[in-house]
Amino acid sequence: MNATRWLPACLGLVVLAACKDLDVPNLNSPDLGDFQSNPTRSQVLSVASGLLIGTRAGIAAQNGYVSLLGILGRESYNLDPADPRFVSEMLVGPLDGGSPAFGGNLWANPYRNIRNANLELAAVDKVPLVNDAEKEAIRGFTQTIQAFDYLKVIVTRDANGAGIPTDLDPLAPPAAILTRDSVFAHITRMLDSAAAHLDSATTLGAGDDPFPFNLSPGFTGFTTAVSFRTFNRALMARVQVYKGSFGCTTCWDSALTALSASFIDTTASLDDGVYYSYSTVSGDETNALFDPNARALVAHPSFETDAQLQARS
Amino acid sequence: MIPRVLFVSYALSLAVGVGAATGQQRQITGRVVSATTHEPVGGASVSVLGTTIVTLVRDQGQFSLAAPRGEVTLVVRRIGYKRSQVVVPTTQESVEVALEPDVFNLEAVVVTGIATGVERRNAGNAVAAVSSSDLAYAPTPSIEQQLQGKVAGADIQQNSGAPGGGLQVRLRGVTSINATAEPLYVVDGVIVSDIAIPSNQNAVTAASGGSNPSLDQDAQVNRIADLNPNDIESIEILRGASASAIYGQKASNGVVVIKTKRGQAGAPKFDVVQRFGVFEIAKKFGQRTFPDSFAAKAAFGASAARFFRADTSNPYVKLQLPGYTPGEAFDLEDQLAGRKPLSYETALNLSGGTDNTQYFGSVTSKDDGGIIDNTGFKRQAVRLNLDQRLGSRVHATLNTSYTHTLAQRGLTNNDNTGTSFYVVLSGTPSFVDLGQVPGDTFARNPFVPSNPVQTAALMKNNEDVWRFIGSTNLQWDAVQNGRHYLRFVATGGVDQFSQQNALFFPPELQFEPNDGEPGTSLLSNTDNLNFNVNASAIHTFTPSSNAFSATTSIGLQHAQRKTDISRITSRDLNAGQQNVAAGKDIQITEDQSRIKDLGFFAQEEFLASQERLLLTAGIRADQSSLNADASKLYYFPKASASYRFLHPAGAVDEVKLRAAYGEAGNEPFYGQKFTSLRITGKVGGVPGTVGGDTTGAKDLRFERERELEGGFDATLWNSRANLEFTAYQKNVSDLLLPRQLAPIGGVNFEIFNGGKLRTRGVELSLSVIPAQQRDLNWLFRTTFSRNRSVITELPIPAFSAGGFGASIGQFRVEQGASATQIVGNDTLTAADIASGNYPGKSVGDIVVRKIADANPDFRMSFTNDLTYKRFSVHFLLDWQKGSAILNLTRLLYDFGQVTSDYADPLRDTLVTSAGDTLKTVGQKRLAGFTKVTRNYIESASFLKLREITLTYELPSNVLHGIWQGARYARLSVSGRNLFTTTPYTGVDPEVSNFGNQPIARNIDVTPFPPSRSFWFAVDVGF
Repeated sequence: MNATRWLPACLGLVVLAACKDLDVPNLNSPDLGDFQSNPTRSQVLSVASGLLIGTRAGIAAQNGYVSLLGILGRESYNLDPADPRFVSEMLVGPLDGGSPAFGGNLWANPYRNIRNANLELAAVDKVPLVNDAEKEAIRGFTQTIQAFDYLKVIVTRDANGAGIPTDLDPLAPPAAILTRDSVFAHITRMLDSAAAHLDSATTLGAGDDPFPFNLSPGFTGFTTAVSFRTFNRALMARVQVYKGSFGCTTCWDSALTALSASFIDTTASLDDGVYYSYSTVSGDETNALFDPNARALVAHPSFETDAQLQARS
Repeated sequence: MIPRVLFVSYALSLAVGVGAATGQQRQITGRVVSATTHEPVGGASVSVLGTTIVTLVRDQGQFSLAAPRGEVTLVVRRIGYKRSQVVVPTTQESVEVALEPDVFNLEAVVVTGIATGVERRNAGNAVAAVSSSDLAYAPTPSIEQQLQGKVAGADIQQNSGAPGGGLQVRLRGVTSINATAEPLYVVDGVIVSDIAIPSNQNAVTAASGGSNPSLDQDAQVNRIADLNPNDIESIEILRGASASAIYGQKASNGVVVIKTKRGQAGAPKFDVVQRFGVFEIAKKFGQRTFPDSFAAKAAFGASAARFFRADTSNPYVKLQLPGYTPGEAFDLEDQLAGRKPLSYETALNLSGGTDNTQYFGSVTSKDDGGIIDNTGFKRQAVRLNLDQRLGSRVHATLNTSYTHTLAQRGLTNNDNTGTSFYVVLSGTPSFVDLGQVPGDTFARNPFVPSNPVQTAALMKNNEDVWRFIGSTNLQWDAVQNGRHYLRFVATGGVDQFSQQNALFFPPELQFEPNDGEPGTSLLSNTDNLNFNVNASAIHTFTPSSNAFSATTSIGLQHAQRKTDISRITSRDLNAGQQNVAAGKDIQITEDQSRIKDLGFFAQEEFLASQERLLLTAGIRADQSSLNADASKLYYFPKASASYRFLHPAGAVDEVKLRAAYGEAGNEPFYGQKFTSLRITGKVGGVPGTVGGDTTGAKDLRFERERELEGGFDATLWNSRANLEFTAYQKNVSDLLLPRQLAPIGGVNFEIFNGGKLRTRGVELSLSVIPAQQRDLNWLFRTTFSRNRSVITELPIPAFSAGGFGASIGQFRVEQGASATQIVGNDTLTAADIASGNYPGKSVGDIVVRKIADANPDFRMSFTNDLTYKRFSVHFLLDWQKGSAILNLTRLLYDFGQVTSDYADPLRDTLVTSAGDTLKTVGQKRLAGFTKVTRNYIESASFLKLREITLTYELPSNVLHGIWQGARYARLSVSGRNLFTTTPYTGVDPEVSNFGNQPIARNIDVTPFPPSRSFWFAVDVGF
């Protein structure tokens, strides 16, 4: 049969045509390499918003920043019947290094976002279609958030110190561990540099323009270079107070200076400030510290007593 | 002559007469009968030795062919019978041929390549083949259950008792740490998908928490469960790289080659099977009973007394249960899993055809009830297989099947929310009634805010799968003469399925308001497409001296896989509606993957010395989109040799020595090679992009397994016994490992290739026919296997391969240690300190060390097939000796103080320094929690009666008295898992909370309890 002679040949052609190119891209998310070599305006703006996702990571988790520091400080307790390790390991010990994330996340989460900020700062330099004022605003925002992440690292590490990674290659040798004072000095420099970038945006005439990227609702009122700078200064005041408590005598004055440039106002509402935001929108996180039926998370009773006293006085 | 190195589809080509002999001819007629029963044997092929003349034997054993003049030798072959050669003298025109049964399947054709095969007696590898007659004893939802205990070296275990499958087939021990654990499944030449897609029940159970949870505790079903066991003709299992190398990069876990039933020329045949059965819980976990309210108050506080009432007649009698008799309680497991639902299966096969066209069609409908309310398994399946001859040299086949399965699997396994059935029972004492109370409502559980009986009655967990598997095969015998035989074969196929998981938890459930969002509806849709084609050319050369035959095959194979999973999680349902759009809190995820690969293969098989010597060498070259370099070709060589010694010793008929070597791979998962950005996150509703957590090595590629196996097959005592022995060693290198990066760099893990593991083992199969008479036949088969795996090289620190942490036990991958070791916290004794192995430690210090090994000492099975006159009995015992399992169900029950032995008084006085406060067995175990993890390690040894069947075949005179047209009728009763003996206190020593795992099976966390089933069946053929 003649048909049988061309059928195999045809099939062979189909096969070769179909599999000429075996490359399959990542269908679920963009490629990091693209962002590093050819960043686009929308990507750069999205990564800026993402810094707020990164800096929120693990804050409210049951084994996160607030909960674990609360347990160590005997301010709060996690009595989850399904995971007794919050008592047996966190309160009694020994801590199991193999268990997922009892403390290690307090180190890993901020560094993940520090890397995000470093990627963003590198991309801003080369991204097209973003004007100079916008770039300065992005730099000022990014460095402020990065300084905040360093602060979260060093307050849990204290005298053990921390590193300041600059290499964007995750396989590069890890950054050296510096002393606590060096890290605080770096945070101070970052905040000042961020403030300078925000000022530069203002100089370029965009001081009262909303940031080109979206901020979470927790930053309502702090979405321009001028207003965000007041948050930057508030952080600086906090950093200076830490430094002062470690023996820096001039830092108390610096703290007052920073405070005066911050949003903090003794006559305004105590609610003023920025917040971590949560929502039930798809892809978002809910606040895991919210435990409506008081199943597991409890605070030390003195908390309520103190709060009532403060409210009365 | 017809070359003895056969094509896989050889039998098909014999189905019709090929070619016409030239020259003068004569007609030979004859009859083929069974040598044991003297009944006619249809479907055999009759060929004339030294020619291409061949014909097919009709149903009544009759055949007729045109042979050359002069004396000829006829070769008669039939699957299931030994080949027979008969010399027909010039003058003889009719002949009767008696075929001996081939009980050990030595003449079956087994796979050696993508499109080639060889007779089993010559094979250079250990062969594991199971035919349909060994499969249909007791019905199961999934094909792997039918194989349990039938193949040496194949560990087949069901992950939980949930209806509808979910089994792991592990061939020859551990072959990977992090890559897939599944063998490759090939059905009628097409690679089909066996992926397991979780239901997303994790959204309710939160078994795995966090913002990016893993769904591997969802009791997922690997999708080979969709295959209809009734359609299977044969299954062949290539257990390691030495046999599977020709499948290259996907084959290091072995290959399961499945062929479906085909039609044969002849009048239409109908076969109908109707089965009825019933399921019941096979083993309960048990519960603590409380003799009086004092015991309850001691455990649960003063408020527990309200479940008891005073016996006012006697002031000294303790408070008692309402309607109390001593020791009695509510059987909570019976309230949950006490159903014994009627189940059925109806299967209809139709087959037949003409010389040029044959067909096989089947329709199956199955409905297995579940022992828990709203659980069960249903399958409706249709199949049509066609064979068409186009002229004398072209043969085409078409195989199609369409299946719908519905699995309803309840809500079991681990959870962190108090929702999973047995997690709730583990916190509920037996003096609480969870049953339905009058008025059609359910009791509120006062101990855990969740009532599993209510949950089971009102929830839905439906997994619907609609699946099409189709393939077509075209072969063209381009050259066909005495010395050269050239065939082109092309096969193409698709395997497409849609899976929908619809889970619904109405707001009425007692647990639903716990998260502040009453009502949960989950909807996941998966589209999966596997497409593959292969083409090969096979050439056999036989010199006129017949001294040898050499078969060369070359070809290529291309495959694409595409999976798209989208999930919607909807909470806080408006008006309690299941529609996911009714929720206030809606989460959506999508996960896509696409894989393309291309492979080339070439193989040479050389058969010589009167078919005693077989030498094979082959190579496969693969490139795949899963490797970091998608265009790079990687090579997988193989070689094997076998030699048959005929009558080497008195009682020995034949011994074959064989040795084989091969290499195969295990692929990285899709996405592992990328360093990506995550775009799905939001903060306060505002989307943003963040960096990914993992990165792939620049040279990421598959794992490579090198396997060397050797052994012998012996036939003894005039074919009354057959013994196969195989020893093997697998060295797996380039393991896919996660390297923990310094977190300071901002990326957690790098996936890279490194490290080595080694698995060694032996397998033994023995088949004996103690009796073979006209009225009495007895076939006894036994298998034995054992293996040991060790991590020989690990370039990264020891890490967890599964489990919940060292304090409650986990699998740890560690250089120099067994791959399946379980480590846990342990308290040092004086003897430990004296050993000097723990410098700087003192008695009572807690260390993490090996406390058990999940690998069994050995596996054995025993199968008996007894036929006496018209009765036959089949039963299979499956034995595992010496594996360990982590019983975390017991830990949870201990936490709830409701374990059945919790209040048993302690007998040994050497317990602990805590001394007097520990009065019971349960208290002692809990006192050791996080200090003595081995308290929750138990033996997973078991002996199970997997299947037993008693069949009666109606005599033909009775049968024809009832129905003239009937060919046969059988009545049978059968059972599955009727009997288990095990020291294990959990429901089943084979369960796996994390589903199919390369290493970390044997973790028991509140699984679906196993069931046993009884069946009555009527089989009729007409």
